[in-house]
Amino acid sequence: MLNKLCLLNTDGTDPRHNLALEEVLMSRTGPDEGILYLWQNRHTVVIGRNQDPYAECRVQTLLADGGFLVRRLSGGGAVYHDAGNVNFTFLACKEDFDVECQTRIILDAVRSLGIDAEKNGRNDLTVQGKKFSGHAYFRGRNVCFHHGTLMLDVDMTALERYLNVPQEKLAHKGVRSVRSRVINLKNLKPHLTPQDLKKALADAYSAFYGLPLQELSETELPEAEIREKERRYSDPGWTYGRGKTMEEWIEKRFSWGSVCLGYSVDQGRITDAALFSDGLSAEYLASVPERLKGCRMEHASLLYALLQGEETGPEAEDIAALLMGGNG
Amino acid sequence: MSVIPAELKYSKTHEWVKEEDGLFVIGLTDYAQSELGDIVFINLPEEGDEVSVGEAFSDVESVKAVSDVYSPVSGVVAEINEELQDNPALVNEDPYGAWLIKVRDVTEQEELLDAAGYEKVVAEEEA
Repeated sequence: MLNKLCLLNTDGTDPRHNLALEEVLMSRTGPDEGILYLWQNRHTVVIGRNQDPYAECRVQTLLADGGFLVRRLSGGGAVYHDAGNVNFTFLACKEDFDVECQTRIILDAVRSLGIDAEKNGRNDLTVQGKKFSGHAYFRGRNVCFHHGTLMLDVDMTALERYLNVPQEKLAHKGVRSVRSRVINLKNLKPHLTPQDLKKALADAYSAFYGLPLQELSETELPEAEIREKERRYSDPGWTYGRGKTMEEWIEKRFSWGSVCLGYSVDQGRITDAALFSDGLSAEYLASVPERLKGCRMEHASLLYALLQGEETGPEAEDIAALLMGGNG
Repeated sequence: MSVIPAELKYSKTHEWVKEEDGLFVIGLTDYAQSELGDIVFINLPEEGDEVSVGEAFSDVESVKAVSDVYSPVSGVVAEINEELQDNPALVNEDPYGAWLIKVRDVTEQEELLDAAGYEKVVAEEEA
């Protein structure tokens, strides 16, 4: 049974920092203790634990606009976050983790603002049949979390600009665009602010369990652990390579697309490689890691391996130059 | 009621273990797969990776959540069940047939439970 509730409300909007805080909170959730974490990211696409960034997101456009791409621990689909979106995370030990209760709390909070919200399917909340909140879950050894989005005033144009929605999914449901399936709460309550929403969530959390909230501050959390977790969310190996361990990762945009190339070298030879790209020569690009494996780290050998059996195309030369130039 | 074969050993975190030709075969129990729900993705380590007692070596995404899978032994991954990468639902269909990894050079193992001991763990969690 929960007998202590804590609240962490952050002002920082860097998604790597915010996801790091969420993970650090997992390690400090004690028995019988519940934590509600409220946070906002700026200009960010967040992909699910097992998603392919290039399938879900127009990575090149997002990065060129100065946005962030991050991968979260939980499963599910890609979402777009900006200052018009509020995120919540409920953390509790296994015994006290109850998705139904937590969903109830979100509904209570939104309804207390005069919005007639409903639960729809397993992971979504809707109003007037349109989604404004999507949820996802992570189960660690002892501590679990349930987190999600609340769309208040999200820039729908940006959302459509960055997220790839498979056409067949839309066509199948007979709907023309993302915009017609999701809704900002601001459309229903024009004066609603992120602060109002956060306060309603905190109040509903406290009221549901009949316990006062103890406010946490970021400064109480271990700085070194936060930095360590931030590194995970800043690491292209995690974001693009789904946890693949490579010694080096390089990201670069070329005329034909952007690439994220990871590789390990032992005694002057490439021992392992991985490549993620939104380039159009998908078949060739998929063959690059195998071409590179075992190859000597020198320009002529790399170029030979990359060009073998290929007619033309700038990709091989660019990738060879990229490997020789490191981050240049 | 979940199936708990008598001939296997179990961890408290719902992995099963079987020793076979000098290798430790590790999978998820029937209780684990039913709690997870329909599995849509399994991340497995690579051959040659090291696993350590109590540390996550895999994660499983189901329609309900992403969950870490913990290693009951320390050693080196000798083999992974590649079939699961194309068809993760095999773990739901046949949890004791659909092993995840085989581990060689085992240097350490956690205190594993027999079927009766594991049955108690499951009964407690269901209560």
